Amino acid sequence: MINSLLCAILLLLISTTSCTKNFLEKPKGGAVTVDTIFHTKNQAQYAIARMYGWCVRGYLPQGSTDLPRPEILTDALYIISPGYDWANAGINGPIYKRGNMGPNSNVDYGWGATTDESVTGGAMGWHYKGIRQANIVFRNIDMVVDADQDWKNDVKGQALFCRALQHYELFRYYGGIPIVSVPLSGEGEINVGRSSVQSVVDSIVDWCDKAVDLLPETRPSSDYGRITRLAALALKSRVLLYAASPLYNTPDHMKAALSSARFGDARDTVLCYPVYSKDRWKLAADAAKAVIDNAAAAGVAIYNTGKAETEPGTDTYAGLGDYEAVWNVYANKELILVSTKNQNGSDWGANLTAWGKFLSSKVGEWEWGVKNNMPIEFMQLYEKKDGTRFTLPASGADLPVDIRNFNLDPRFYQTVAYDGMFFRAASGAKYGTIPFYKGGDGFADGALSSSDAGSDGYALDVYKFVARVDNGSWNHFAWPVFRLAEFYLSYAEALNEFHDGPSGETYFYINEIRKRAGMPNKSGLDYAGFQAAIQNERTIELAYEGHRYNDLLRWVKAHQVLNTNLRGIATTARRGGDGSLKRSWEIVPFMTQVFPVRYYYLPFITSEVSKNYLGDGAAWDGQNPGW
Amino acid sequence: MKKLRLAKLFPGSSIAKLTLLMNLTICFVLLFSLEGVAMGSIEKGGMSFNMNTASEEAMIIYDESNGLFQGNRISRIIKGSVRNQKNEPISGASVFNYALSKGVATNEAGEFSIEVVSAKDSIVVTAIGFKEKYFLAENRQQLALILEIDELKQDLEQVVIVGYGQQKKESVTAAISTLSAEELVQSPVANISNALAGRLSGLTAIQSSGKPGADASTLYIRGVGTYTDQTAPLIMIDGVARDSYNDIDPYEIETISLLKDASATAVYGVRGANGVILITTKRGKEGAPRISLSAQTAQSEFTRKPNFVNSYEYAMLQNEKSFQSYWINHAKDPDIQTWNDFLVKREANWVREASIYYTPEQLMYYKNAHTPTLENGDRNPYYNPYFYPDVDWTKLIFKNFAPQSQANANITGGTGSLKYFLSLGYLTQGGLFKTDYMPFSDEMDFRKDRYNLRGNFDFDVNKNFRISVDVGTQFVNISGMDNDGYIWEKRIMWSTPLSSPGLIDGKFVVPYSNPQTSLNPLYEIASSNNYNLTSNSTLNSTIRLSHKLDFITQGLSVNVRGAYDSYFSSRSGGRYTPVFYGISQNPNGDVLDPIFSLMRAETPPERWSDWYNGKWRKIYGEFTLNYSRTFDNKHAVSGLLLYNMEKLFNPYLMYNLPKAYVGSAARFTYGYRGKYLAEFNMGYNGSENFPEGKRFGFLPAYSMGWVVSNESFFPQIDLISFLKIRGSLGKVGNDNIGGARYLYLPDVWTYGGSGYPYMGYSFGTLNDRVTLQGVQEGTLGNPNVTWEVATKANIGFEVKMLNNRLSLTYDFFNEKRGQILSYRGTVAGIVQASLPPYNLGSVKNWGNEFELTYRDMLSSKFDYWVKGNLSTNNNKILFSDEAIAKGLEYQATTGRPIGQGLYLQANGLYTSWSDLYAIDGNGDPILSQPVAALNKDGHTYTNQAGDIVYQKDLGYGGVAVQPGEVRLVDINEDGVVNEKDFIRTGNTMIPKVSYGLSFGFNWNGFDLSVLFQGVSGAARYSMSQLHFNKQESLFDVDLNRFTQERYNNGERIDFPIAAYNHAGAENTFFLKNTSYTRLKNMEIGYTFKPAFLKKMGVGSARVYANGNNLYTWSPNEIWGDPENLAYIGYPLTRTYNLGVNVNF
Repeated sequence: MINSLLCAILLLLISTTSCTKNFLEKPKGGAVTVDTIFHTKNQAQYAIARMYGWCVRGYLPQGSTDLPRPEILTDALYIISPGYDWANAGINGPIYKRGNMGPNSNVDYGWGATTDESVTGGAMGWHYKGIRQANIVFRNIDMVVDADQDWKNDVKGQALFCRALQHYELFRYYGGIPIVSVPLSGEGEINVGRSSVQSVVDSIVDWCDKAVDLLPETRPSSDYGRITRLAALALKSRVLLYAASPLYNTPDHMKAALSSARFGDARDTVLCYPVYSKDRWKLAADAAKAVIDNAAAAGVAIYNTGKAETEPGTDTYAGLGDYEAVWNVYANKELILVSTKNQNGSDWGANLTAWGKFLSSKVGEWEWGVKNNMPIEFMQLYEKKDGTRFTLPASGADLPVDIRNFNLDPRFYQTVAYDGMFFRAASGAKYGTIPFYKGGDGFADGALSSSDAGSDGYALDVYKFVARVDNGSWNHFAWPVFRLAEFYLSYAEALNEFHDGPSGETYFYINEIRKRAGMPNKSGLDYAGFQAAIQNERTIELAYEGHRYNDLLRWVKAHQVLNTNLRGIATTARRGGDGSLKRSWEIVPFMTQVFPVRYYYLPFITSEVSKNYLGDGAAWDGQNPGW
Repeated sequence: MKKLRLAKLFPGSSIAKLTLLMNLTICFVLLFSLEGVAMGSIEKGGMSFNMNTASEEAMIIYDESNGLFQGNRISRIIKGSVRNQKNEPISGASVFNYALSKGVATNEAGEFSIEVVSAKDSIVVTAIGFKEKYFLAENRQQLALILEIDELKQDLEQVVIVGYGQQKKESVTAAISTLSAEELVQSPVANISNALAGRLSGLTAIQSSGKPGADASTLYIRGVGTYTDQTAPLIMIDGVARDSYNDIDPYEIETISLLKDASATAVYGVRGANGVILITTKRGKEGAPRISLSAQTAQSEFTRKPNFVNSYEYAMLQNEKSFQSYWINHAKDPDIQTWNDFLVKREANWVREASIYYTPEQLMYYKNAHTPTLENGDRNPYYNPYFYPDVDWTKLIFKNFAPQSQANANITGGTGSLKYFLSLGYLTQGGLFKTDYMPFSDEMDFRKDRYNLRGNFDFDVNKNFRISVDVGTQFVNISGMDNDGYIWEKRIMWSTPLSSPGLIDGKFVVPYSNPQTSLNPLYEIASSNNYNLTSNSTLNSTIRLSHKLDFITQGLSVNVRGAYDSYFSSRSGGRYTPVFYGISQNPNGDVLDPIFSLMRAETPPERWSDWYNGKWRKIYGEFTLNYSRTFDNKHAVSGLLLYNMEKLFNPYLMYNLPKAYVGSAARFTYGYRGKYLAEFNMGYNGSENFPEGKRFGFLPAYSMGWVVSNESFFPQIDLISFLKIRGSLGKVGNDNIGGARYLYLPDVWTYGGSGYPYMGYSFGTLNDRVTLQGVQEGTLGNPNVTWEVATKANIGFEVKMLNNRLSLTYDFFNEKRGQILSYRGTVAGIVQASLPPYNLGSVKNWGNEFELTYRDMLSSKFDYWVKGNLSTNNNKILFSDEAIAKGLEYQATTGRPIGQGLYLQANGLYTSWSDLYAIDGNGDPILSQPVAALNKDGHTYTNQAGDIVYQKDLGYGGVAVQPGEVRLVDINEDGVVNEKDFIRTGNTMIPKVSYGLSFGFNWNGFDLSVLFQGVSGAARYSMSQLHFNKQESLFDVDLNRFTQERYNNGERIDFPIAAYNHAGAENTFFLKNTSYTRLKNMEIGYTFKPAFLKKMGVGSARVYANGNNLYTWSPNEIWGDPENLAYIGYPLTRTYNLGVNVNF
């Protein structure tokens, strides 16, 4: 009975094949699509949180990333000796400072050189990753069924701001960049090349204007960290200030200095405005004034309790001077927008592998760590407390005494931890008085004498945004994306430029900042004198908050300031007359910093240039001049 | 005389069919209740079917003339023995008397008694694998016969395991290499893959770590054919895809087959593109139980471990570097116009500017770190070992030897209806890190213990129906530190001989003045590592039912196979952070009596309970129809139809969904008179990764063979006794790209945890902060995605020569992988969507394989053999979607071998100032007269600005160069050496040539075998961990650095100057040739069979000594083992092993 056999086989085949139709089909579940995410508020808020994570970034070294402070590119910071590049390799700092930056080692502060399989295009890609998320949120938020229109408009405002902020981030590094305002598909040709500086600035301003209309004036404290109307005004002001500055709005007499950073043909529209216009300073001034005028309604004001100086020998909130308090007191009234990402306890907390703590100072962890040395070239930008210029002597016998006797701008002492300074209350073998000195006269090396490369005795370690008060809690830091002081200074700067000299209003805003710092008023200056004063004021007030790099670029001063020898102070232990430890000090060389003129615009990474969409699609690949 | 056929026990066929139906019913029951509860019904069925087994062949001899069964004839008996050339008895040989048409078989001792009736009776003795022998009865009473091995026949009759079946070696037309169990167990290694290196042609094995539990080799068949890293071959164990093969006990294995060309692999269709390895375990054989016991114990050590410099050398080298750095930092200073300017400035400043500088006094201390007393017996004032230590960390961190032991007991045997193979195995492998100074020293010790248990059973229910049940399990326990990559990379590489004194009286100490625990690697290892105890259990179980369907048509059979595999892994751990002490000088001034200050509060040790670490289970079902028959002794036909499906349940898979495969395969073979062979193979498979309509792929392969030596015109000569030419052409596929799944699905969003860069965000002030998780778009879908297809061609021949003593096999293969599943590289970065894989890219892969065997027997007591294999493989990327800038085409991967690195081109070192500047009378450089650089054509050239390019400006990134620096080539001749001067160049980690050569002999019970194995055409970059990088370890290779003095003295130079340019270190100077030849394995054994053993029932006993990785010849030995160059990761080990094997 062959039939019965065949039946049996058939039976077997059927029993197996009957399920094969669906056997390879993806079972239900396991995957979430865009419709699910933008169906409810609850789901959509996660997409919004991700948008903030990518777009509203702080520059304090974060978590497990190996990025140093952004000032590493400038004269404000020197990290270890040149032989030990790894500490700031994440941003290619050493390569940059020696003039060796290349397209694939550019210093765009995306997430630095760190790559992720989902991000292409190097550091630049991270900005566009954020822009994509903002565009997706903007496009899809109307699908949410359980939210009212106000909520949706608010979200749209936040998305517009995020899109604008990351375009600004790209602009400040590269000049004109491709403007992306919809989520692009990966299929087919991309015909989005670099836009002109004018278009980029106009787009950012336009998005900010729209966001201003959509965003609320204030938010409840549980929403602290969310973008407000004032933040959108602040971004607009920052961008217009940049746009008015000589790098983009170049007066004729400054063109020669920039000639090797320019093509000298029509392509220059991606680098600057074709024609200088003083009116751009007016726009910048008005935008800054709008921030100042709208501050009160948002509950924002200059933090000035009349306490200019931090008391030596304390580590409490109460002991802090106002300037130090601005970056220590959480959610204080001067802050317009902060990156709340930084303060996440788990990012900083128990996880001792968090590199940021070790990269942002030596004193913070009081053990292995990287001294963030302040070069004396930058130190000398601090005026003496009487407002006169300060020049460091060549050496001295007792650094902690000498440095107090220099009687510098109180902000210096609220920024720099120096050898022999009380840092915070001792805890076991840690903390107390800072021991940076090299051994000598029978004294062993100080416990923090080395920067990982043998004891160097480098004596000035920046501690802005480093835990000190509140038992050394890192929890209360939030990187200020915008704080009001910046716009006082922007306004004063723009007014001086537009009116070719300071007026009473101009002085008022610079002196408000100086007053809080405990510095005497500026007065009686001409255009150039005020320009120098306001630029210096900005450098000092906003030191280590991520401004120095772009300020030097936009003022077209980087090639003058950054072609320099950086030097520092090193201390050595000496036995004083009474047998006690004295920290004698001398000036030591750090390195020779090089800034070629082509550095004014970062090069695009080679892989993106070779895709040949940045330029005109023909002869020009879109790369910036000189690269 | 006449043969009488006895009637069949049950006339008519209906009962046979009924029993078949019952058998099939049992198939179903078994297949669908894999737990095996149906065993009882097997027994029942077996008993009832046994009755029809004897039917066919039962014959008796009947003498027609007298109507009697044989008996009245006068006959006598000849007794004899049959032995082989080694004088070993041959059992089961057939002794047949033609006169009586009657035969007997020899017993275990090779003895026989055969009846003869006349002196003229002609008797033939045959045994499989031996040449037959005739003799006449004559007057013999007693006879000893020696049979000669019939090499050719023995070899050709051998079966080769092929995909889903087996074939006679003679008729194989595909490219297949095989390895026997004997060779496999010669390697005293802890996993299967490490025993394969050098044994099989076409196989490349790369072992990158020697860490117990993680020391498996990566295997490549015929090199690599894709740039997507999806290069792993498919591993089949007893017909089921099982990639957890490494922990199988080698004593369980019968053969390993390597399927290389399309003809051999097409039946695996979707998963065959990278070749297939078939592992077949041993099965029972009919006969008395044979017990085999083996035990071996070994000591292993690192093949090469890092040699660090001592403190004095370290300090001296650092000073040298600081001194040399002065030129780099100041060569371009405007105030340096002449060499003399420079010398003056350097003299004044270099010490002050040094990153690291040790004073002459400090150097004295380091030099005297081990000299407590002066020659005159006084205390050495420079002996200060606590504050100027010189510690050889390798001695403190590593053991010299670690034990490894292995034992196996197996029993095999069977009766007519049940055959069995049972094996029990144990392995323990120790690690080479010292752990005795830490808490949890047992748990922190790298160690692997493995227990193997296997039972393979064949039940012959009746003559036509066989049930096979295989159960194999592996239990593996691994202990050790969880962070050992970091131990190598950071702890050991960062510890310098002078960083801290290490352990003093059991105390971990660091300098009090610089209490960084990283200065004490012992403390760092002890405190920063958790211990991990991992337990893995793997179960492989299979049940296979096969039924002959000869009653339908001769040679037809049906098979059903079901398999259930499972894996479970759990882990426990713990940690302990010991206290450490700061060591400071005693105020009394005695440097040998330091003060210890406790730097850390005591914390209690932690032990964590088990957690689940991984698991999966897999269900596999297969149905096959087999057909094999020869018609008219001319036409040999066989066929296979197969249908299978598989489902893997693993919570780690993307989306947590089970993974499915379904497919069918077929094979048809035809042979005409053993001369002309043709074969067709195909796979038709489906993959869940592709959309409906593109889901199934049809992958056929064709092959043909011509056995020239079977042609009548081919002369019957000893020189060439066998010659086969064969070729194949076909396609195999791949559906895999990493862990990505359902590649066609659109727009899947993923929630983020707390990873980097932070997925979520928090809002709120200090008191009311809320952290929201993030969600983001995942990978977009590609609705058109489908199979990656490899087209493979193979041509080869097999020849046996010199009276079969020499056999040679040669293959040439040429493959082209097309539609490679890979990611696009040309999408603008402004898109930033995660794009899906597309069918892009193509790669060509070609090479040659030789195999050679020579065997000869000089006497019955001495035989010897030589085997060799050599494989070459080359590949070239024909297309990959990559963005290449204009003018930088030489950096593209397209057109280059897979994995070829981008390096600056080094052209040796600058060896004197005269390479850079004109030289004055004192031999000093004249800085104002630099030497012009020459371009490829040997001419001076200019840069973009039109200025002459000088050699001195060709440091990477414009950094000043000096003698001893690597001389880099300005590839694009633009006058600077920068990232544009990187080119794809040199060999890759995958060797172009792999070879093995083994030889051995047997003499009087002694046996020796030696295996040399090697590769060439391979290279690795040796500076992934930079040397002279901050305060990191320095090695013996760094002592061989360039200095003008060492160079002038003709000393060996292995390294540029200490102050070489780190930024330009990715150059070919550091791309080191990692070719090597290893004395991979050597074994000496002695087999003895004295009578007293026999009384104890022991058949034979063998003692042996062998070793693995015994010696390595490689050109860059100073950089470490070639497979572990520059000591990245746990080094490989060498093993010395002693063992005994007893058979009952």
